[in-house]
Amino acid sequence: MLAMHRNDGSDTKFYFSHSLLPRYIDPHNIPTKKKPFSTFGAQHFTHRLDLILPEEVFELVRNRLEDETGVGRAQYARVYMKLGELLQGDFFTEYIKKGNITMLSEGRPLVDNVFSLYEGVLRIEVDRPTYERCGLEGKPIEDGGRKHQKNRWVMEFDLRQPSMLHGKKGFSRLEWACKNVLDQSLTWLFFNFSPTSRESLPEGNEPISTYHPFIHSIAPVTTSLPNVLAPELTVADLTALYDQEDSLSLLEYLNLLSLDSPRVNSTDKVDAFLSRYAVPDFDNGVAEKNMVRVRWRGFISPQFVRELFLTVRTEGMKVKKEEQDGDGGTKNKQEKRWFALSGLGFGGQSAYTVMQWAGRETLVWVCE
Amino acid sequence: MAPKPPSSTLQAPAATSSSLSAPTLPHPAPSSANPTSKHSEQPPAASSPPNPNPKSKKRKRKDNVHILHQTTFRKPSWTYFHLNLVTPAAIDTTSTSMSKPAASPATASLDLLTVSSLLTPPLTAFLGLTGSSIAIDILKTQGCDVWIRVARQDARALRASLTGWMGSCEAGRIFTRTEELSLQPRTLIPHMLSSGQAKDVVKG
Repeated sequence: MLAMHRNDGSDTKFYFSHSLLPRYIDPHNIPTKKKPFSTFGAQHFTHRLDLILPEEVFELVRNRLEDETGVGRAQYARVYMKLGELLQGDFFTEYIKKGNITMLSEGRPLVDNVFSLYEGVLRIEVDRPTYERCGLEGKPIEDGGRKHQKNRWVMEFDLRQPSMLHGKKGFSRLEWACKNVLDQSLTWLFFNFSPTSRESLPEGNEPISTYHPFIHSIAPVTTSLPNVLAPELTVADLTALYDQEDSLSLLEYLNLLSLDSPRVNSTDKVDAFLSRYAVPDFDNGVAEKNMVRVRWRGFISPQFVRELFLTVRTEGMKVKKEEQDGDGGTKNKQEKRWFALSGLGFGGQSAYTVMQWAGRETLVWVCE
Repeated sequence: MAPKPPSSTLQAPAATSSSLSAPTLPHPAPSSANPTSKHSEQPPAASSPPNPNPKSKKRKRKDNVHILHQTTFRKPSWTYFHLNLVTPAAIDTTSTSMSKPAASPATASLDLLTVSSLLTPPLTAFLGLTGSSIAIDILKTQGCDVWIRVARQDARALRASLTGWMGSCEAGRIFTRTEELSLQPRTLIPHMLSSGQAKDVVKG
């Protein structure tokens, strides 16, 4: 058999789940352990976020999304720093010990050295020679290459621990490694969770300002997708979609909407030789609809995604009083409204799509 | 206060004919649920908690499921590629010797037929008739970018055939250089590319 046609090897896996949202979501205590919130939290650094909605739902949430100070805006910074500078002085005490920031360095995962800081945990991913020179404790990770070769190593340090202070042994070993081995100046993306940061960062009142960061703001870009064919699905049909073919073709359809592909347009008349894609049918037929895609690109945190998700759900998918089933969901089995949120992580390594229906039903696909 | 025994209506996550009511007990704080992956065809009667004594002090949280179904899909049927056409005119901006009025300037947009005709020669050269018969669905063209879909079994052949391809189209020369990026192409259906997808660069 030709090597070309071998069917083995590592494949992409899709983790699919159909779940229900909690009955009541406290806006001050947003859940993080249940799906889809656990999916949002699992992707620490999101590069691109797409929101696909029917036009009617978009009109309801439009103001909230486009509001300058609202849930659809964020800001991040890009700086040139050395790893050692994260552990020094004001930066360390204000941001890491007292505050909450996230940072990601340049570098392709599994190829270059990548550093990231999330929830106070500094994660250093390096290749084997660098790891051996660092002299710190780490774990090997799979890099897709030869087995048992252990070419990529990851070291993690919880910098919020009381043992991580200047003068302590473990910390000085880390500082030594940063000074002697990992001393390259890299590009970092920086995001500060503190709400006062929106004003103080551009003004230059923050510890990071000494490094002259470039401030970028994340704003939504809206594209309308008129006259697309959409499969007629209702909440009652969701349990019939558990089959691999059906579920993945629904995912493919949502992603083609994100891509703004002409193949989902109702006016598309492409020859079968060039493309045999057809909008999936699911036995209920397809109908023409107007959809809208809103896209955010930048350094996006899971908190942004969570708040966006909840805003769209509460503002755009209100369940009428007579249809409420007392559990936060809807009794109407013919409910057709949905919206889809998909996130692509940095490095392209992780991606998820969440399809939320009016009520409580949620479909989640995570790709690895 | 005796915990309420689970009623069968609350435990029927599935059959499409029955009403899909929320399978939760009226606990005030539905946190720390044990999400068991219940298969959708589980009959209502069998889904009562295994605790035979409903008055036990340990309340079984298994009733409070929020995951109705969970599964992993392996070996998807389709693989997606994002290809990019690069013309010599775009690369040699400083060199004047190579510049000629480009038949396809860097700002030209590809159309479906051009893409199809550009992809057939490398496939034929690499795998002959079977190569040219690989069905490629062109999903979108935008400027010099094109997104295509092939069956998963053909993805390896497609990628290999586009590697190092050199040819011509109209008046220009075409080179193919495969860049193995661990970064997945940005705007494609990224989740559905198989890992380690190549971003093929077709220079024209």
